[in-house]
Amino acid sequence: MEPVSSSRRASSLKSFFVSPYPQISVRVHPVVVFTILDSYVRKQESQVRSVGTLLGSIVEGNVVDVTDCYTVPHTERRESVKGVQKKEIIISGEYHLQMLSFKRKISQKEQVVGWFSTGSEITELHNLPHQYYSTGNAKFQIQHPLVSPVLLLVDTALTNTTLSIKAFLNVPTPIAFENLTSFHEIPSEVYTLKSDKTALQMLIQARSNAKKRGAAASAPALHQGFEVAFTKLVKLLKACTEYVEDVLDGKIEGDTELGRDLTKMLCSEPFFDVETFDAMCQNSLQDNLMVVYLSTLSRLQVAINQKISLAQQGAQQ
Amino acid sequence: MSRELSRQDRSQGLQRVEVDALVILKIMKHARDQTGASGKLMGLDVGAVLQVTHSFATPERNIESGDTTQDSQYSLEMMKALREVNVDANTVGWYTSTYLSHFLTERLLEEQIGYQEKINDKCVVLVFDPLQNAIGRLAFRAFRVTDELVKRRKEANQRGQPLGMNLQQLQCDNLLEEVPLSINNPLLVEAFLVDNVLGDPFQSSVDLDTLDFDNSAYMQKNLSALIDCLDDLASEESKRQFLDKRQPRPYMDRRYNPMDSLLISSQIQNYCRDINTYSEESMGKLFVVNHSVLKQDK
Repeated sequence: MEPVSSSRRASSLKSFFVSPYPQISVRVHPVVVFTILDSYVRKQESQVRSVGTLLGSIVEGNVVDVTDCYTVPHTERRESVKGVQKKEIIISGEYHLQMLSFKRKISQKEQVVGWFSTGSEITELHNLPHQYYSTGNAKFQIQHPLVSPVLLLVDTALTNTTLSIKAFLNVPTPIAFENLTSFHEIPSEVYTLKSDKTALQMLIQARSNAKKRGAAASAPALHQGFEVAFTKLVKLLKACTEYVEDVLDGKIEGDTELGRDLTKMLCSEPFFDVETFDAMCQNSLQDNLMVVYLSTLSRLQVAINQKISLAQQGAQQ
Repeated sequence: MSRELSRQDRSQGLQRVEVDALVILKIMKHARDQTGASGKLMGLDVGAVLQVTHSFATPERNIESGDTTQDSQYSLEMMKALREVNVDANTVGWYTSTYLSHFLTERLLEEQIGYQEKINDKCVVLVFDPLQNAIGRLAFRAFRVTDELVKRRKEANQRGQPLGMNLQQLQCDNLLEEVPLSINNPLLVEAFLVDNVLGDPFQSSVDLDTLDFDNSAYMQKNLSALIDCLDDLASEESKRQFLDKRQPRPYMDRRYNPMDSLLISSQIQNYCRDINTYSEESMGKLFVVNHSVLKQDK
């Protein structure tokens, strides 16, 4: 099966070729994406984009693990140099450093690894901030193999109806022009830890709940994990059975790889006869019942204890 | 007195806490990075709903020195900075991470009372349990201190006593009240979810972990914590009885803090609640499995 990562999907971003030589890839945690989206919503009304700093570390040798980020205010400056209109983004370096020192107090291991901008393509506007982040002024530290900051572009305008997230590196060109930056796209993916997955699942659940009952009551979706998971399991099993039946009926050609995977799955759990299984269930059930009994007993004890102490206090007064 | 009343009226208005998806993930990240993580919640107080739209971590406090000036300095500057990027720079409470609902401490109560008295009566504390999260449940709960306890605190302050001396006739379920919690996904977050999570079978298949019915490790930890609490309660009680026999008014004795036994009782009720919900769930699963197996057998 093909590994799924967001970078491999068709994207609307205009990009240059994927550079083969720096073997660096980027993985972005959902919390970073959410912060960037939030920062876009909260940008100044007059501005078209929001920018900010990416924090993270290098893991597994060549993966830039982006774990945190924050918005940095910026201004857009129009300038005419020798009659040519030029626009520039000026990042508030002071704010960046202040926020960095705040973040440092919480976590020492996260370093500046680059910056983000919302938008659908890289323009010459991105040059100046990128240069800023490349210097020591921005506290960017060269961590091998990351020698220059990463630029993360998040398409909040949903061009082509996808929210694409792309990472770029500035690759030095043989022609040594000053201020010449050429951005090359590097592989990137949204990396979801297991605990984050639970949260995302709940967010999806909250979303469908809100739909059902109208947006006003985007209801407490907690503790409903079981129901969701069960419906999902049934759905997945159905899909499997359908596929197998289709192959058996000759409707579609069977994929041997898939067949092997299915067999492997079926054999991964030991088989029990019904009696053993039933006994196991009974045992587990009894354990549970006993635990509930114990907890009820403890509750009772607490209740009695309270009654007694209240009565004693009453008697003393 | 009239101010007192209007204050109570307003707090009765708080019916729901609405937490943004971003805050959920931010807190989870912080709890992953360090144990006992805590920080501030920011947002808006809109009628009966408290909207939590942003949060930030606060540095670990030096407990020995108990110095809070540095802490508040940090928060103040952080809020100033966040206001510059248009975050709702308005404190609506705080969060803390905990293991197995073991969050009921005198410190938490005192801190929460401080928030409710000094900042906003609607302030809440958001409690997050990473351990429950690991078994596939999103374990966020929102609490506020009951008006009764706030009142007691005030009375105790006036008399210059610690809070523990002014708890007569108070029941353990009168300490904290839970506020219903809901999650809010902003539109762009929804776009991201639809794009990156719903469409991706690998991202969304993990919730099957919730189906696991042998999470005995979780149950074991809960039970042993419960037993510890019961032990503590028993020793508190014997201490009280001992002092009771020697002196007519044990509540004046500094060696005994009535707050402890209230907190422990409350804690026990919490554990029992968790254990019960958890066993209910796993019994449900057992019945489903058992039934389907027996049906196939016939």
